[in-house]
Amino acid sequence: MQSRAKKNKTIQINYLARVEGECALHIRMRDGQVADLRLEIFEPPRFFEAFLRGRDCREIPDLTARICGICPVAYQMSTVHAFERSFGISIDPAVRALRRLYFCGEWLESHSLHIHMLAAPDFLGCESVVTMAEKNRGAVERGLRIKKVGNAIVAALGGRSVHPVGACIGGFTRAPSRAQLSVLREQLLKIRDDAIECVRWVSGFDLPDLSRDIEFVSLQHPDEYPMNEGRIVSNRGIDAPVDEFDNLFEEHQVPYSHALHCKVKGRGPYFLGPLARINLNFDRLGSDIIAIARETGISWPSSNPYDSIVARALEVLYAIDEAVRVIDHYEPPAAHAVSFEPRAGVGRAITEAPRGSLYHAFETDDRGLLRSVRIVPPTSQNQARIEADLRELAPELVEQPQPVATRMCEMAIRNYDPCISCSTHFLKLEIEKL
Amino acid sequence: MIRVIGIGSPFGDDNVGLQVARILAEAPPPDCDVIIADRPGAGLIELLDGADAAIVIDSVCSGAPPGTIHELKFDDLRHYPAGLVSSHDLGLATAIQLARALGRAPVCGRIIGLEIAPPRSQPTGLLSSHSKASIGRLVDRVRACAAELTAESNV
Repeated sequence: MQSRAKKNKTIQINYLARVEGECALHIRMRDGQVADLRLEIFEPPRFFEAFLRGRDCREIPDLTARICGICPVAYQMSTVHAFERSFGISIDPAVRALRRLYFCGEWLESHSLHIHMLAAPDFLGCESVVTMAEKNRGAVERGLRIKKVGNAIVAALGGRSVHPVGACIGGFTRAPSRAQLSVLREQLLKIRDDAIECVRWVSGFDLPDLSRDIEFVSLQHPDEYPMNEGRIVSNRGIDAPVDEFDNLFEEHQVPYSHALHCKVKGRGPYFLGPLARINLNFDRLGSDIIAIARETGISWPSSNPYDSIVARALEVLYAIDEAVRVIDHYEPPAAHAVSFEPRAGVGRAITEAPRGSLYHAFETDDRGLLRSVRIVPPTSQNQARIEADLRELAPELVEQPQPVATRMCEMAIRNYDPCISCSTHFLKLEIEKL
Repeated sequence: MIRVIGIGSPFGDDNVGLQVARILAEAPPPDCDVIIADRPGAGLIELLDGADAAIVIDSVCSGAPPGTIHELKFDDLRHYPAGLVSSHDLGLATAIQLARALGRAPVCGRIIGLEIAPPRSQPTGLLSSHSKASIGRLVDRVRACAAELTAESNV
């Protein structure tokens, strides 16, 4: 029988590596039970919601793009869609298609980096991507090839791959020619086999099984795999328009994190991101990708967070096929952007960032100046779910030596590819007057 | 051919590497390609690929007095903890280490860095007076380094 003393353990990871931003994890176990568990996001708040107030709506897409260096496209897209809904703007179908292409670029960049540079070293027992490259050069080269094509797509539509500026309310600041996109098409076709190989590679990893009852949430569109439009759905019965976001979910502060926690009202934590999207939109992946997904041996929908890396790889393949489809059907729009008049009102939108649903809500006055702003990033929404996974994992950690337990926690967190900087741009300040 | 790569961003003293590269691009040192690379991230791997030698110019924050010029060999990066990669792309040291692990970086490489004041103490968008005053010295240092690397490769 195990001694009582052995069931007490404290795991303290002071600086979590291979996630974006600054956070720490503290777990204290007493008698085999979790006494305290805190994912501490100590990256300073950035006050985006506060300093956007009073600014002109036309400035906002370039400012929200700055919230994140790896998912600026999703920030721009949630922003422009929110304003377009508020101002009653209908965009050209060709512009809508270009926006899907823009998303494909971002998913390729972000997912390939996460799979190959951040997550894979865990499963291959490597300290980092550098040591992994010494053993498995081909895989790293493949990740870099995929990422490069993603960068090229974002640069083609956004003007540059880092902090792109191309999106605006009503469309883009310019539309690419067919010739420009045909260059991208060639590059995309060259990495398709890489993407298939990547799916097979990650599904061959020894993925732990932490299957459990999880509420998955994502957008869902009647005809498409979700990117920039759809209803909010979950596997526990949510099926609502985006405008219902605040009625479905609630944010709350925890004393140890600069990012707000979120839960489904009346229930609890929920899971956003590639695994949620695949689970809720499997039939929209197309027959080729569905066949490849079935070959992985995973029974979809999957309730194992560790299958996220496979979901991410399948989305890489989807993004390649979807980008090629958009390019093949592309006719430049009559106007790269429609003109509009701002008006007073509230606009809300959700788009699917690489890490999951990204909610924006803006209230404007009749000149288009912002009166209020809400930005709810996916990492913030996933935080409570990450903690729930760690709580479930905790009893196993007690039995492990410290380095192994630490690695297990890091892997569980990396399933969500958290982007800490994105999640810390607000802090609710309460002043109590005595 | 030696590849001289100035990296950075347009903001504050992070712009130093780009400014030095722009000056060098107007009159490149002998046998040198000069590249101006705004935040290349993993793209640095490709920029290093195929060069006989490389010089990377960047801003540095190490706690030394602002204006100090640092020079490191690529070999010196072996002790840098490569595990600290973020999803916002690779840092300079990791990108160079990864390029070397992939056999895509020249064996002979140097990083020339200018110590800058911690970013919080600078006005955004402009070079600080320390950095502005150091640009000429930095250009000279890169030229001298390029000459050394050329001499080494000819030996």
